[in-house]
Amino acid sequence: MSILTQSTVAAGVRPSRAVRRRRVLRKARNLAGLLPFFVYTLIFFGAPTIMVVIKAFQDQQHHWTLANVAESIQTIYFDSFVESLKLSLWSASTGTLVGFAATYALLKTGNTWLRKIVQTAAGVFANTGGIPLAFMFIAALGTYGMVTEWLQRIGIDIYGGRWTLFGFSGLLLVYLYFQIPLMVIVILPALDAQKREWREAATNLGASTRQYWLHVGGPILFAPVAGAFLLLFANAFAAYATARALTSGTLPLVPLQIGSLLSGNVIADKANLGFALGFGMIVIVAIAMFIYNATQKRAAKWLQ
Amino acid sequence: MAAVVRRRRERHIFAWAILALIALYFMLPLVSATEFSLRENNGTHGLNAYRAIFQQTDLRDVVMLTLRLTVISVVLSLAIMVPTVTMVHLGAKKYRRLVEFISLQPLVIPPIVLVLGVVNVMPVSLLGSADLLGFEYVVLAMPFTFRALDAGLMNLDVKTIVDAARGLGASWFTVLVRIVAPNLRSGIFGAMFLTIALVLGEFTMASLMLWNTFPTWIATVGQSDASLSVALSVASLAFAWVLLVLISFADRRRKA
Amino acid sequence: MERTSTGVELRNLRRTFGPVVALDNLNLSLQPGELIALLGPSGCGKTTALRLLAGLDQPDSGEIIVGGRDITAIPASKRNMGMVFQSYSLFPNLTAAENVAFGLRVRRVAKPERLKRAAELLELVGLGEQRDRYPHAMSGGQAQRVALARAIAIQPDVLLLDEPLSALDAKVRTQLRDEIRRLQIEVGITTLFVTHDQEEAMAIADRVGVMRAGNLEQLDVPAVLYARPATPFVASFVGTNNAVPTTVAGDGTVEVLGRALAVATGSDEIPIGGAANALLRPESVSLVSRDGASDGSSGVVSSTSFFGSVTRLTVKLDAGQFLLVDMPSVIARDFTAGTEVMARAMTNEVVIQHQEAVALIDE
Repeated sequence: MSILTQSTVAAGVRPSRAVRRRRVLRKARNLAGLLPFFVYTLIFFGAPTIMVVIKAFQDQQHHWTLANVAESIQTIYFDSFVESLKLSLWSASTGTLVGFAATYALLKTGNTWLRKIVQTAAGVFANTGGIPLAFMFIAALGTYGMVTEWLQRIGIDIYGGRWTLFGFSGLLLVYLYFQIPLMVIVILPALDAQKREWREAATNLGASTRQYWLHVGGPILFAPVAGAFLLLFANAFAAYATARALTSGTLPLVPLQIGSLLSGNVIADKANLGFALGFGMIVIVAIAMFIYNATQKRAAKWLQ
Repeated sequence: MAAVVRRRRERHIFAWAILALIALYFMLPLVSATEFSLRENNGTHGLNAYRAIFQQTDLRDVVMLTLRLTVISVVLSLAIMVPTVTMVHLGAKKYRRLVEFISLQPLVIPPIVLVLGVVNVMPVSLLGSADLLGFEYVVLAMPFTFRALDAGLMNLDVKTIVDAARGLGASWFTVLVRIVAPNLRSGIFGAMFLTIALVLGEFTMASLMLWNTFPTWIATVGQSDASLSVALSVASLAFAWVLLVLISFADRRRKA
Repeated sequence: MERTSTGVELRNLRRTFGPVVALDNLNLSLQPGELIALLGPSGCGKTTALRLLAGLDQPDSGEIIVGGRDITAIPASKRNMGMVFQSYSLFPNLTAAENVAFGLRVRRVAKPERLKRAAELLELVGLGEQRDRYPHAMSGGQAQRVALARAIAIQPDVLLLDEPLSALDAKVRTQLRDEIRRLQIEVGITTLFVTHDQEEAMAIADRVGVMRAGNLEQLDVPAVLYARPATPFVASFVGTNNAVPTTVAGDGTVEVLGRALAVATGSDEIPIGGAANALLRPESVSLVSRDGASDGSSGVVSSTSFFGSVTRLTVKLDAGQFLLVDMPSVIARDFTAGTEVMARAMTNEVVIQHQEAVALIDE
């Protein structure tokens, strides 16, 4: 509303027709201005997404069916959901723990120069993924990797047993490379907002470290940490490039299955199965995001 | 008294130890890859692998394609998001939550799922053009471009400035170009760099839509020439990092 | 409330942060039930002293005696002191009542009893209805009241206040400061109150200690501090002063506004013939209209500021200097801007300081 229309309303007088028309025109103009955005997202984002959801429930002849969804949660596809969830939960938990420890340690040192470096580095590492990341780890921990050879020299053969970089735990180790920095980025503001005064007041009132974290520190941090965990979960769950680069599809993960189906590596009549898998992914990530939103709202109030 | 002073120092040592350990985890793969990329056949180290990059016949096409996609993504992103974000801060305040919600949705729909939909919904003619990939990159970048621009405008109290300018007789165009845009500068730079970083690193959609961008090319090379692909990886990482460091500088200038 | 108050003694406290000496052998005694205000500019060491007493920091050397016991080595959580911080005092995830009850909860007081006590204390500070409010929904003044209630809930030996009013609006500040004093007297608790606002310190303290660069320059009741400052720093920090340039005459007096005044104790040592600034309070200057008057310095009223019962006039002397003069507003009515006046000093002695000592307050 411009200054003109505001003052008219404030006077308590019913706006004249001219003013009302101007207001309607303004509303139309606003909507028109936002139209490019809405149209663009509808075409390049909404349409593909809706297509996935619809086709998940259709067969080749465009009849409605639940067969795709049913198949997507059976046998090998069920396994891939389980593996994906396991990988996401493990990398999210480990990332949350290590990232929290790193951030806490960082703030403890109180060194501003170090903090700036860590913040920049975290931004950089959080965006590292795909082939470059996979190759970095292969260079370090692959069969002829630098670290592998160092460890061999002191008598430890990491490939002596059944472990391989290209399996579940290897992938987990690699995922941490972008999960930990993401945690640091997300949790740094929340940890920073922890006021020194709360800790000091608690100490002054007689609380031990344990009591402080139990009654004050812990509850305050719960929402940000839970939110961060969920973000890390969704991030890992959706990841494709890193998994593909490292395991080339040998590990059953949902994104990889979709990729195979898309590349035509499977029998033709399974095509719509990919959509069901995609739909499943959307559901899982959407649930995570929903919980994330719910946890953030309450905590935001406290920390105003 | 000495015991107390010692206690103060001890705590910090623990913190530094944790940070050092974690730094080690991040440095080792980096160092390994760099070392590997600098290895040469006769056991010494040199820049052969990096020199080989420039001898690749595909390099020119790949770079041109990636460059083209970058330009399309950045230009379109800014062209759509700057007016939109400005508008929701100026007149259409109640649409802000809706626009924010929509902008964040690409985080909910994984790129692997999005590409599945794109391949099945877009007309064949469009699928044949690499520009489509650029259009989709705008979508992928949306959560970040929105946030960068939104944060920039939130610190600004745009409404007051614009009302003041309009009160002094400025036209809408003047307001946008001369007043809002300069103040948005760091937000725009941030959005730009984030989009570029995204394009340079995006693999999922590019590979499944069968385009030979820089990231997908590295993967193809990796199947035949290990040291070349590692050199490429290190190079592309370094480049992306420089960009991201620049973002944080643009960021800090805004906060100052 | 019947209770025995506790005395506090800070002996030879020294605290350095690297090359910076925050506290330089501080010696301070608080009588049982007394409220002492530590006053000074930022960096003078007043907050450091408070934190040492609280146990939130350790001295490099010196002792802290509370109720006759040496508590220097006792950790903060076991010192039984109540503290109110400048801001962010309250735990944001607990209601007002839960905040107040926190100290009791930590001491394993049963829930019904501690909530009852919390309710009582909140009534005492006038916030009985806000029991279930969260800190983010409270105003600054309300939050500090809750913080106060929380501090005294544990029946501490000493109450520590670290600039508790600095973050509040002016009106709330004066209200709350009087309430703190009232409560402190009622409960009879020995209190250390840190502030940089000299009006605040003078209004509520039994004694005020002025600190500068880690040292206690003077510790006295407010009236003495004001009338007989021990050093030029104290003289300039407490209350307003006019710095009138003058020279030390042969008989050791100084001429100020046409009269010879004795040099008060606490002045800088300045030799005969040396240049000095005489510190003259605005209320110690009298103005009469110029016609008919002969003694004093002549000048013109350049502006006036109305403060209710008192008006502060700015007088431009013919010699070029500006003087601040306070007088009751009813009299000030005759001295509007432009009035020609004669200004005279109404006091017999004055504190003088070196003329180069221009930077009076470090803030």
